[in-house]
Amino acid sequence: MNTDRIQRLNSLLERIKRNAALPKQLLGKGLVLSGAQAPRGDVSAGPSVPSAAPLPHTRPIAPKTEVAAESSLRPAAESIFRAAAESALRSQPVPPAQPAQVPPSPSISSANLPQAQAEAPPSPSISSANLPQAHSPMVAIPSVSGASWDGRKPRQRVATMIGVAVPPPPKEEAPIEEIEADEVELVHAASSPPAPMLVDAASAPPALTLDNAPSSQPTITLDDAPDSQPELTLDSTPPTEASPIEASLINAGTGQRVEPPLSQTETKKPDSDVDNLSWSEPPAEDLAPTVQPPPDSSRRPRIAGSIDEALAEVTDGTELEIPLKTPPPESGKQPAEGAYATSMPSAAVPTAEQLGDTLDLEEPTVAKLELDLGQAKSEPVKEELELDLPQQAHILEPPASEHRAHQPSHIQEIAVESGIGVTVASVPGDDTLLSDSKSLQLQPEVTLRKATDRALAVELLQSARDFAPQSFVELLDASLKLGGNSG
Amino acid sequence: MTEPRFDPSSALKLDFDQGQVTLRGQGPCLVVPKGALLDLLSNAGDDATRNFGQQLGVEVGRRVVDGLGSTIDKASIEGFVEHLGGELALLGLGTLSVERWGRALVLVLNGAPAGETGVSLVSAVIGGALQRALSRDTMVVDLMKSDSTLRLLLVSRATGAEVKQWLAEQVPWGSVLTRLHTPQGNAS
Repeated sequence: MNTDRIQRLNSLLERIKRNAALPKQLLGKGLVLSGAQAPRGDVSAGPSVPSAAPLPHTRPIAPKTEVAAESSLRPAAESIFRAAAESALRSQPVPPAQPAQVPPSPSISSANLPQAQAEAPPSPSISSANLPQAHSPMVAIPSVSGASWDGRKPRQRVATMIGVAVPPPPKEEAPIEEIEADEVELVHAASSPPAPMLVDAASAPPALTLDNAPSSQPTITLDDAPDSQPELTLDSTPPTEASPIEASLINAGTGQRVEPPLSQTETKKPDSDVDNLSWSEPPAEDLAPTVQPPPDSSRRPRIAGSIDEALAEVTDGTELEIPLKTPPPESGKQPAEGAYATSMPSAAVPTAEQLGDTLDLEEPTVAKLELDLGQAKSEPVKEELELDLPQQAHILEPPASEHRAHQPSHIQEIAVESGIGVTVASVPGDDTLLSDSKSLQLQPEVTLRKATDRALAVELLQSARDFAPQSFVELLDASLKLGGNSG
Repeated sequence: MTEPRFDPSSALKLDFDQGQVTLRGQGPCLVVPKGALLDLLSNAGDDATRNFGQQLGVEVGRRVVDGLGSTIDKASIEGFVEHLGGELALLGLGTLSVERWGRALVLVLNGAPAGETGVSLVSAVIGGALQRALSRDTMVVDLMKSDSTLRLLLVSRATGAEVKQWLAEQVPWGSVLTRLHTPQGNAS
């Protein structure tokens, strides 16, 4: 590679990286590479020159201030693309593309002229790959790959952006990119700016390949070069909203491509021609080395060679040391050395020496099993003022016969008269109704009232005893004499 | 001498061919619901109810005399209650029993018609029956009444008025019986 070509490519790369500030408008969701749209939203009448256009389901119109800025950039961008196309044609001839009209809608034409960048809307998060004034070692170079639009099927292909998270590698010269398009028309309609993406300056591959095109119809065909993987280095968190941007992760150390897990941002439809884009965070934890240091522990004690040696060590005390930490665990078979070298009997059946003399036990007798409950508990020493609480018998415990003997006589009589003792727990052959065997019977407790006004009661009873009518007529006559006639 | 027992057989005859009901062979009767009769009597008034019950009681007394015969004056309490109670049961006035509180005679009816009209009806029936059977002019005073039990005190008319006064003074019926047995002038 000669020096002229290198210089030319370097200048071209520098200009392309300057243009990197502009594609942030393209990184919004819903960008579609389509032909130049003549009327707003009508992409069917445009030529087959690819251009960036928003998806119909996205926000169609950019803010007013941004529109004005983009409109002011159009002439400069066109001239930039023309120059880029001319330079690209010198290196690689490209068949001329069909002319396309610049859509009247707010659009941004990617350009690499300095004045275009000066008039471009501020994009602090996107900077050129090899610019020293980059605010961060991680710079972003958007890579937009598109396809031609045939005019009959609008929005047939969708721009696909691939972001790669790469740590800052050592500085080295960036590869050279080739412009294969001479005209780029980037139509932006999404109002929300894309998330800032930073691409490492050194490792950033060529992102844009611009195809040459007739200067009269400046268009830029953004294609993914097969050999140069378009990548985006992302150092910012992905947007919370669903984004069709697809991100691929590359490990910094190995350079291996890591496919991000499927996320809900992937809204790919099988029948749709739109390529969905998504991204995700780099799995830094998964990619990190998982080698853990061994646990800090004390050394294992040395195994004595023999029992005598072990005893000597014990009596000597020199080997006695208290391990500060728990020795590491060991598994597997014990070493067959020293005291452990003695082989254990492998026979499961004990030998005659181990068994000794066998005595035949006598047959069990029918005697009751007597359990020695031990000696009676010694009663604690009581103080003089300490009183013994009456011990309450268990509810199911039968009361003692002597306790029943102290019950009032009327209770027993009532119990007998009520028949509770006979019907509830009568025992055949037992004549005593209130024996201890019937202790579970319900025993009524009667509280006798005080005998008051006994004189009247005696008089009534005496009157009733004296009067004994023999017929109904006699009783009726006696009743008729009550009251005023009774006296 | 044995007392004749109450014979309820063939006491009530239903002639389906003629559509007539006879009680002890006496004239056609009407089977009337109790509620309808009490409503009618309550609308008729106390005097009409008393007269209506008195007529029923006279018939009851007559049948009791027919049942006991000439021995009615010497009939025991059980025998007289059996016949009188049997006749009241045929009328659907409840079950009769007798309580003797000293010298006081108390008739107890279970399942008697409730309400003031029912009590008045039963009292009139019993008074009429005793007057017809025993030729005693008695006054039947409702001593106590509950949901299913009615106690009626048989006293003279003079004593009856006094008992009603005591009951009106919220004197318990037990105390009323006690007062009846106290000598005159000591009752308080």
